[in-house]
Amino acid sequence: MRDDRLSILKGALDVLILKSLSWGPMHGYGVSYWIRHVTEDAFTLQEGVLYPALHRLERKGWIMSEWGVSENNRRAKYYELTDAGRAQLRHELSVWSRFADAVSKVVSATRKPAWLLRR
Amino acid sequence: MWRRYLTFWGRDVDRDLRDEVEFHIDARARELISQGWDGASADDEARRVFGDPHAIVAECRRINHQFEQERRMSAYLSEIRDDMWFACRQFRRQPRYWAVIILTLVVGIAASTSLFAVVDGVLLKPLPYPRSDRLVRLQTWNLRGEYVHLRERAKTMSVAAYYPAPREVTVSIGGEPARLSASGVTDTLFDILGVQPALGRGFTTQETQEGGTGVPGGEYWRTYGVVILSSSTWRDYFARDPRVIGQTLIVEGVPHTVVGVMPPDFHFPRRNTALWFPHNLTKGDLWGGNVAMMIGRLKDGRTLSEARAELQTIIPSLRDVIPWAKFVPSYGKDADVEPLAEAIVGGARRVLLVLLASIGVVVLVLCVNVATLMLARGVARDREMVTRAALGANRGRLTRQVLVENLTVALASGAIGILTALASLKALVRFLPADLPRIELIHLDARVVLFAVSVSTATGVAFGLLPALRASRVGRGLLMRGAGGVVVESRERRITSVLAALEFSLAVVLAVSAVLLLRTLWNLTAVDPGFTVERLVTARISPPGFAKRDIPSHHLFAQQLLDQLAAAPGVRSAAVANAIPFDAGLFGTLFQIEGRSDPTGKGMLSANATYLGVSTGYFDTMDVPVLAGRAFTSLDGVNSPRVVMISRRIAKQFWGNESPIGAHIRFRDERQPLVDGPGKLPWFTIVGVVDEVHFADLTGDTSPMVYVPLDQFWDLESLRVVVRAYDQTTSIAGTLQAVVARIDPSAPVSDVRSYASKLGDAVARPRFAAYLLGGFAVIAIFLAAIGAYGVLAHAMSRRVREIGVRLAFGASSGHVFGLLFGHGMRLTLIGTAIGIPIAIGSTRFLSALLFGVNATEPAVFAAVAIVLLLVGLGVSYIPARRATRIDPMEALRYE
Repeated sequence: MRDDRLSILKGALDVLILKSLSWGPMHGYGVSYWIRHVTEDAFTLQEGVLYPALHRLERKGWIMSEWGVSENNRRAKYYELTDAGRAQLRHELSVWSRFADAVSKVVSATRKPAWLLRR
Repeated sequence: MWRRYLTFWGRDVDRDLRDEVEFHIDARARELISQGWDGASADDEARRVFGDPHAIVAECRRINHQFEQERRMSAYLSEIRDDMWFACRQFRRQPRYWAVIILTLVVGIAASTSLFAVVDGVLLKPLPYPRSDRLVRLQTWNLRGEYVHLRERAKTMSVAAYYPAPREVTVSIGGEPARLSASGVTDTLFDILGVQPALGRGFTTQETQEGGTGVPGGEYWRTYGVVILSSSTWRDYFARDPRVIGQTLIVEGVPHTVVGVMPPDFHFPRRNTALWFPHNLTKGDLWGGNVAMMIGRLKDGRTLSEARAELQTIIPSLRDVIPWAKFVPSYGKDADVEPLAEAIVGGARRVLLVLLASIGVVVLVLCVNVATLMLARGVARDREMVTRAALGANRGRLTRQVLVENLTVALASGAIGILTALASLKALVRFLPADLPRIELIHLDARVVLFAVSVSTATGVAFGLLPALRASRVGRGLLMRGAGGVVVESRERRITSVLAALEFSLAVVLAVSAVLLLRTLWNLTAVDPGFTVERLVTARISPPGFAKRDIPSHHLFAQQLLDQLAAAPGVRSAAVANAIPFDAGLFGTLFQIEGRSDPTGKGMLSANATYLGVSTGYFDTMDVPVLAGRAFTSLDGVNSPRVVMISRRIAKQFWGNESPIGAHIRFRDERQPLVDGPGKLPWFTIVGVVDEVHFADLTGDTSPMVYVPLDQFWDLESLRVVVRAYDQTTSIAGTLQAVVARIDPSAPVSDVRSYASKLGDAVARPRFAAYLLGGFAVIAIFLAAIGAYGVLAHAMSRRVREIGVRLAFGASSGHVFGLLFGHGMRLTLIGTAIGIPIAIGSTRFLSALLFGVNATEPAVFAAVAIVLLLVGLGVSYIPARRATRIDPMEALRYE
């Protein structure tokens, strides 16, 4: 059976994480859960890959972490956007939407270019 | 680093990571169970979609570690930056204090760097030949026969030879005559040095064999009419034309074919050698003439001592074949082999090592001085340090701050010092004695800059170390107010006093050496050369092919020259000779005295002397007094009876108190015209005795001299002109050129200079050494004075309170004055007293450079000691005087 799910674009993971955290503090599992549900499981993401990305973003100062207690009373590490992370997210989103816009314009074009008619 | 990080974060890092991962997998499994999976397979599925937890944890750890390192590094750098910034603020706050330190450092670093450049170029850099450590010079009597035998028999090395003395030849290029320095070399010389011509080829064995056609510059130069050019000759006369090979160069009137061009950095045997000719060593008397200076390249696996042993076997064995060996018992005893590099640097080595040592002393004084100043200030900075320590700076932090501060200063000074050295090196090189070998290798290159940077860093660390240690003690709280502080402080004061005294000791060593060398220079310039140099101008005139012309044509040329010069404006008198005092070259001869079979009492038929052919008016022009008999006149011509004049020394040696006038001598020289018939050496009548003249150097004895009238002289390759001017010598050069051009436009006039400057060259090395060391000594004394002043001024400012108390309790101002003045004089006296034995120990190494003064001359030491004590007196007086003006009331309120 062919797997129709998408491999995630390099660098897009950061945007996904930042976007997830924009709803409020979440633990790593929460982030992965939210992404799976929003995308309806469209990515072939190894869930563990999330964690190095989280740590990297933390070191860059875009998110910060704190140990807390989860819904079922377990020790869990919660991540939260910082101000710098919020600014970064805004920036990434505008880049992303322009990029997506441009790509979709090309792939969904329906009219043959006029100058080709001459042939 | 990693371990430190672990201890810093504790073991929790790894546990936290594992917890985080486990939490995720657990939560995912629950999610799956809620979707209907059973427990065990839900856990497996959760682990599958998560991926390898170990790899994930390791990756996270790597990221954390990397960022942690970067953070630490940037924190460290920013601390260093803060320290430097702080240092700069310090500089701005006390500009005068720091200016003194930086100036001191710049002077020291610039002086030592440019001198190091000189020493490095002349002494330390290897010779510019491949595997130059295998090259040797052979010390022999430079005989052709020695070369012929060694070439055949030496097993430990291959041997090449060249003509030892510098030779100038007249080269005509496009009608313009020029004098170029030339060398005769054997065919193997370039191979042995390992340098091949950049263009064309070297000499073939055939070309150095008997039977060549051209004879440029003298009888030793037998060539096939081929010549090799130096790179600069190629540039100057052929504009780097690559088609130069095969072109013709007229040398001494004889056409020569250019067969090769040497590469640009090839300077052998002399820096200015412009042409190379094949040097024939098989023709002529194998056992006469100093014509074959030899170098060799050790064969693979052979050592210097093997080569030496071999040479010391072969050379003495030649006694069996040398016809005159039985007359010369010493022959072959001094044969030796030394590395070529040492042979080339030769006598300059000692001077340069002395200078190198004095650089070291100056740098040492520099460090001591700056350390003294820093320490003195360190005491004053205690409060700042204590505050910083109280605010949480740890020991390492304080030490580092002080070190960074000092290194900033040292490196900044180093940079300025290098720039200064760059600017001054050109002037220094011009100031160097022209005969110093390898001057062309003196550059401010990477090695020298490296040296400068190391000296700056070393001084930075050295002078920073004491204050830094002090700062670390502050960190330990030892200098907080109280008894401990006083103890440490008095120890600091002792250290600074000892350092200041040490500066005086070092200054004594340098000053004594400098005075000895200056005395030497003074003695040298005070030596009467035997003639008067004022308003005397000399030049060399070399008509092409002059050596081969007959005696009447020499006579004609010289006579025309003298006649025209006598009529020229500004010329009081003029004379010509084949050579004049302080010319480089070989002018020795052997002579016999009529009726004496053993004049020297050494079982030899002949005595040796320096002989010169001089024109009439020579003694008058040079101002050499005629002591007995008469000088030459125009009647002593080609066809007149042979006559000579001798110097007082010869007269005294062979005739004692009797008059030598009228006695006969003859020269053992087959080249002279045999006027008394074939095979008969002519007798010369002694007609006069002249006073002694120093011929080769000022320090040694005068050499025995025999003078022959120019018209009767045969060994003439070019003419030396001496002109005594009426008042000023500036126009004489032009007059000379004009006169010579009228007589023979193809004759170049070279080496036109005043005799004073020619003599100056003879003392160039001692002058160089004396002036430089003198400069060093002045710097050292100056530094010692600054250092002592710094210590005293500081001591005074620390003791203001104490002095106030003493004054308040009735101490006289004289007592207070004595307190500080005594301190200053004590360190001066102790420093000087320690310096004198050190100086006695070190000036022994100077003795080879001294002339007319003993290395342990008490007067010199006394004079230096007095000067330094006077300096100490002045330096102690000012702070002591200031201390007496302290107002006790204010002093008690001080601090």
